[in-house]
Amino acid sequence: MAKMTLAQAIREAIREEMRADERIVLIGEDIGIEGGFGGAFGVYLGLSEEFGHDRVIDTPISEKLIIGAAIGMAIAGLRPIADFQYSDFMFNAMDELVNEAPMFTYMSGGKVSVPLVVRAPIGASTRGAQHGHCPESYIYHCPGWMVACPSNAYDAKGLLKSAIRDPNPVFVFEHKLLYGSKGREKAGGFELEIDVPDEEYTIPFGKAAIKREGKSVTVIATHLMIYKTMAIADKLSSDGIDIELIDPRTLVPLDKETIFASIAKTGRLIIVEEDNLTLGWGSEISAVVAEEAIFYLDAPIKRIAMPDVPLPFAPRLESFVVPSQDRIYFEIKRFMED
Amino acid sequence: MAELFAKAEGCSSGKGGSMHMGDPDYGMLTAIAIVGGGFTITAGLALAYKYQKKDNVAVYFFGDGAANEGAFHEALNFASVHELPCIFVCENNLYAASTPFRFAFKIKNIADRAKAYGMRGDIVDGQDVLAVYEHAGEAIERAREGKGPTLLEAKTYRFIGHSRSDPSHYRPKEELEEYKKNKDPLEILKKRMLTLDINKEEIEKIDSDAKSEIEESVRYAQSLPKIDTQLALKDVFIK
Repeated sequence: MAKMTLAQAIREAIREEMRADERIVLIGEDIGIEGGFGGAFGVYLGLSEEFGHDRVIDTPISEKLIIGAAIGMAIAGLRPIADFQYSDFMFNAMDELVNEAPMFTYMSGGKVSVPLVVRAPIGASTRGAQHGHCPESYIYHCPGWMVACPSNAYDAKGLLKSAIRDPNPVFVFEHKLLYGSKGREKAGGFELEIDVPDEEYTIPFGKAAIKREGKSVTVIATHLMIYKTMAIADKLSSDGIDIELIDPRTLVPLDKETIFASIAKTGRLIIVEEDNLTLGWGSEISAVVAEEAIFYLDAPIKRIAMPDVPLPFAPRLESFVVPSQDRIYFEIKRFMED
Repeated sequence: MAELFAKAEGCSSGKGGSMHMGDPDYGMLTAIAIVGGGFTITAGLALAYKYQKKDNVAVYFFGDGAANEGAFHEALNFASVHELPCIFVCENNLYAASTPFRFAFKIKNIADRAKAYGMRGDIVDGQDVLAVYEHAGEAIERAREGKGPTLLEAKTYRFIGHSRSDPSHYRPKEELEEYKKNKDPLEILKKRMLTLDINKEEIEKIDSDAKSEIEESVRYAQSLPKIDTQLALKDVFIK
């Protein structure tokens, strides 16, 4: 057992897998440069020293190339992990991400396999509209992609190992503010450096984690929103509202069983997401629940999300639009009182 | 042929058709129908071959129009930096769908762009099969010797419309007639074969054998059953 931040857990997962499997290579910008930053948020520090520049490949600022080359390497039998410094930059590679990576297996009638992992940091961090996207929906929407959303170090290591070993394209979205221990304040004061086992383990896709058991209302949240919701859970308890908090861990495949079982118990569903309200990942889960589990519900589904505006730069404005602990508390309270 | 006829027995199980034709077992990756969509993937395949120390070479075929896609720039630059074993073959047939070459390029030769990336650019008469064979051979050798990628521009022409529904009114009729009359690659090759003492009967047999093979494939493809609609739901993921 060792205490690790999310960034360290990702690094550990990658290091262990790379030691065991020569086919795994990393490709991205600023990931292996000597004396450099070791990738976005330092996740890859030390890896190019250990594995060399043939396996930790630095690219020019060419996002289409990052993903396209990763697809090509995957097709040719390697196991590439590509990353974007910020998920916002993935839009430069949308053809590769939408028309190619997830479609080769289908278009070839099952002959071509693309064992690709893409990682990207999401979330607002006072860097303005083009550096704070939560773009999971864009990938969630594409048949052929699996989508993982690790919110803590333990899940990050286990999910990433599963992603690397999976023969299909997997997109792993991580939250910028959750990488290191300094994000603690934003994460409701919770410790972000947690115990991660030394022994080998993986987390299967399609298995949600119940972060807190409760009876009054099911709350589904990802990434930072899990911590913000957890931070006001006790306050809601003292108001007589006992939330059951679920972390889906993977959006594709989605653990419907756990979600439906929870709704059957509580009769109410609230989704807390950092994305814009319209067509955020919460809208798909709402539709699925409305179609397949509506008779368990005693109330309409509620989504707590960012309004449909791009992220403003001013910190005061950003705190206003990104769901805050206070807003999550008041909206859940008001929802339950209605 | 089964794939063209949308049968399950096709090389892409009926899921690709003419748009996503290919069979990796024969060295042809399932085709990409996005213009320029394969540039960056080609660089990736070559990067893998280099890493695996194989002598495979990745070859990508595209038209003049594709050379203006951003992916062209990103892939050629990267392939050059890493001296990757790949060949980018541009079939410059002077029209990108309906857009004439001069509407999309200030330069006269796409191969000249190779200089911008510090890599080898080559021009070949695309109507001359043997010339293409020679230039391609050189590019493959260069790739295998670790001398990096080549941008090979084949000057050619399109004899039919861009797609089934295109009557090509945007082309001068005389231009098409000129090419058909004097620059048909099959006719050029036939003439060359005759000068090499390959007799007319042998040439005609090659032609008729090819036609029979195609007709046999068509008969075979047409004889196959209609594709099971349930197959539409398969092969999204590898289990």
